Amino acid sequence: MLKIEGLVTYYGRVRALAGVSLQVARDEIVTLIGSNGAGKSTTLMTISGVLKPTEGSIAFEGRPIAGLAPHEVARLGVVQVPEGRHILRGLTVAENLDLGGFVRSAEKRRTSLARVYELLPRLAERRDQLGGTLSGGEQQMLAIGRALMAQPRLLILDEPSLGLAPRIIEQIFELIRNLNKAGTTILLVEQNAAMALEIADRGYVLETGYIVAEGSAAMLRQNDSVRRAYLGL
Amino acid sequence: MNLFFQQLVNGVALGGVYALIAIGFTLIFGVLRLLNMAHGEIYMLGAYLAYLFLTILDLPPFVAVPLALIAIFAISLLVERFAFRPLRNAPHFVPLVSTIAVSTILLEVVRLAFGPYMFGFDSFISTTFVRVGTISIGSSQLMMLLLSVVLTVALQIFLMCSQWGKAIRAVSEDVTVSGLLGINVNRVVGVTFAIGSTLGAVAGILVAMHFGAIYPNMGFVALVKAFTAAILGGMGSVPGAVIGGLMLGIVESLGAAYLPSGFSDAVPYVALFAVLLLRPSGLFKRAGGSDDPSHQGNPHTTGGLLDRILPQRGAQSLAAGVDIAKLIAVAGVVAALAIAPFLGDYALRILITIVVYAMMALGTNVILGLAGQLSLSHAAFFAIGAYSSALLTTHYGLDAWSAMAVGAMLAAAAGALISLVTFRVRGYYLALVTLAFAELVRIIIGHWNSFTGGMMGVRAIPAPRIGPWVIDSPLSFFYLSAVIGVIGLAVYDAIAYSVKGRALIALRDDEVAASASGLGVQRLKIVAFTLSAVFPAIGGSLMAHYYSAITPDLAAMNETVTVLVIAVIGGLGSAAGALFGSVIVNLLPELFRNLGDYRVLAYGVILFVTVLYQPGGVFSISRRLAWRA
Repeated sequence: MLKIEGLVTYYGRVRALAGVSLQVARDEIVTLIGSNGAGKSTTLMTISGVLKPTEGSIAFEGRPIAGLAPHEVARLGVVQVPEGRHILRGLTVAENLDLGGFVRSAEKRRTSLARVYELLPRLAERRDQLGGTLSGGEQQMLAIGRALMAQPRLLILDEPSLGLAPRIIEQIFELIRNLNKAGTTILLVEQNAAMALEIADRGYVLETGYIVAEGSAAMLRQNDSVRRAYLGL
Repeated sequence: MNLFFQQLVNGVALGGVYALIAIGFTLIFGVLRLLNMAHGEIYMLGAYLAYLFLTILDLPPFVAVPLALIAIFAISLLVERFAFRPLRNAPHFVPLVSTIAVSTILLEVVRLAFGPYMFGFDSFISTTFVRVGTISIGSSQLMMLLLSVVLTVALQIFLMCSQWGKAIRAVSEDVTVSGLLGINVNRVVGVTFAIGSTLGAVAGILVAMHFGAIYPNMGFVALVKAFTAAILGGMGSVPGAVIGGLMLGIVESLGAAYLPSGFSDAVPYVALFAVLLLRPSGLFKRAGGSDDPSHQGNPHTTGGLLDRILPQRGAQSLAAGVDIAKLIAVAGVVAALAIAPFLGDYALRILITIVVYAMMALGTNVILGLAGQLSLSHAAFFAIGAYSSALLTTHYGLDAWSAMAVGAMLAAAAGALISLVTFRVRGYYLALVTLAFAELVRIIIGHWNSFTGGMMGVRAIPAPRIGPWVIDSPLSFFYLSAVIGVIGLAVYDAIAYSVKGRALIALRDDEVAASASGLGVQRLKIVAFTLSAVFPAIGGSLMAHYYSAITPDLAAMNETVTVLVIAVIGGLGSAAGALFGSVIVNLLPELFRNLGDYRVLAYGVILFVTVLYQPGGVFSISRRLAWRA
């Protein structure tokens, strides 16, 4: 579904990605793990069109998308929930969700909204509250809900567990698993490698801009260097 | 009492128009995080286009006015596309300089096309008065009030209820996420910019009708009022801009009735200072809210996600490439000193002007190049230096050197004062406050007839003496200014490479980190402002003695723009750059003498091209090459 080959991205003069290749097949959960500064968020931002690659290709369902503007990528069904949630604090919960379906018709937005409220009842309770007044966990729910409003074919999540309590993290991961079961393909970036590898089908390990290991989640869990570096075992 | 109510009514009508200008301004700030210094010129251009269509082409009003507004809408789309969009991720002063360039270009185009004079603007609605008791309300006032209310309400509904309005609000909060949500950020920003500009143009047409006159400089006053109103109500808030505009209109009308003439012009500036001093986040914002200007002014927190990811472009270091520049500068100075005896008076005058402006640019280098504070008061310090020299030598019999020293000290004190007053404001806010300070100085100098000679200025300023020698020939004066200039350059260089200079650079790059590393940020800022005031003051003093006559125009905005052009073209922060910039800016017009009236337009274009393609100044070309090697 998503096929990335030899991706190279620079920040100014710093090469953040040094030739990243990865694939996501339909209905998979694929996780990208790595330490701070490995290039995980850069990879996602390049997929979403926020950053432009200097080399390499990105294809979504066979269609090249490298170099498209962020809104064009989003309109193809590749929707990202960025790190740090980025809730629009001055807009209400309902308005935040509504913007998630920005390009879709009013009618489709209504149907999706009903589905999101059903999936995340907390958001329905808080629909008229300003986004900035929600708790961290609720904001993450809102960010995911907002992305769902676009009916993504590929949902990209960047550090959904960041700064949340363990109980909330469990809920978030449960939600991700359910979304996947309902037919959404997922690309997940996580610091919490243990949990990510638990729900993922496959994984890639990114270090200083290179993919250093890849394989099924079960295999990566057994990999010695992964265990040492990311699972603390 | 009657006068009071009459002025209150006038103030409300005027305030409605100020609100319109301020709404456009605040809207543009919201999506671009940019104080659009060209907003005043768009307002002016709206009035001129209406004049063009109505009076010159003689079209009926219901065709002419919409045509003018459509033209403004289209022009602002182009301005946003070509002047601002390419700079969206550049360091914060670069887009601001770009708006100054656009403002200069628009102003000069109008000045060249229509002439610098005032035109009568015939109102296209019949002038009648409605009487309520003893108060009379003009038809143009009624129209001002009505239109501003209707447009404000319409805009508010559009923003709150429509899908486009939500998109605008989303973009103004977080550009990156808006893109990820499928919003075409470029289009939203462009259209918002055009809507804001068009509102400004409506205001321009209304004001032209009301006062029955248009002139090229009408935009600057409008800009200051828009900024003041927007700050009063809290930057970025549409309802705030409305209330701020009304308050400003009322205060100003009452001021016109009860203050001595001339000084009522100072009311908006004084109001601006008062608000920034007492409630910098606006009168109606909760304290510590997300719109706190100390955050908005900070380039690191305004762009959202992208700013965290992308390193700041163009934050060039002082080290690379400068040595070549310094060598060329030294060679140039030596050559100028050697050939000076063979030059005519005219050429010497150009050389002296180059030195004076290089001194001013050194001030910019200290405050913007090193400390990263976008202060635009140079013209005021320049004028303080010049007037101190002029008044102390003519009225108080001081010799030129003591007068120069006193002028430098007065400017330093003014610099320190500004630094204290503006301690809490940064970035864009600082730019406009300091610009307003320069205007205030100009107004005071221009109206304090008994002391400063008012608009007539000061004449017969004596030439300086060294012992028995009177420095009154162009050649001797050039040598004198060259010595002072070289000392200035050397002092600047010493500062830049000293521990203090490095501390200032730390302040520029990251204020929070600088203070966390144990640097006293407030003290550093005072040092920077004080130093940056001394250089232009000495330049002003030289200027006064050389020309032996000065006028309040020394403190005018275009002086500040010229200096900014010099500093940016030469490469911010570099001493040699200040000299090169000054040479380029002062020599270019001479090389293209037949440019004549197009001189200032050429400045604008040069500034624009520089910020767009070479934001590090001409010498960053060699530095870039050095990096690649």
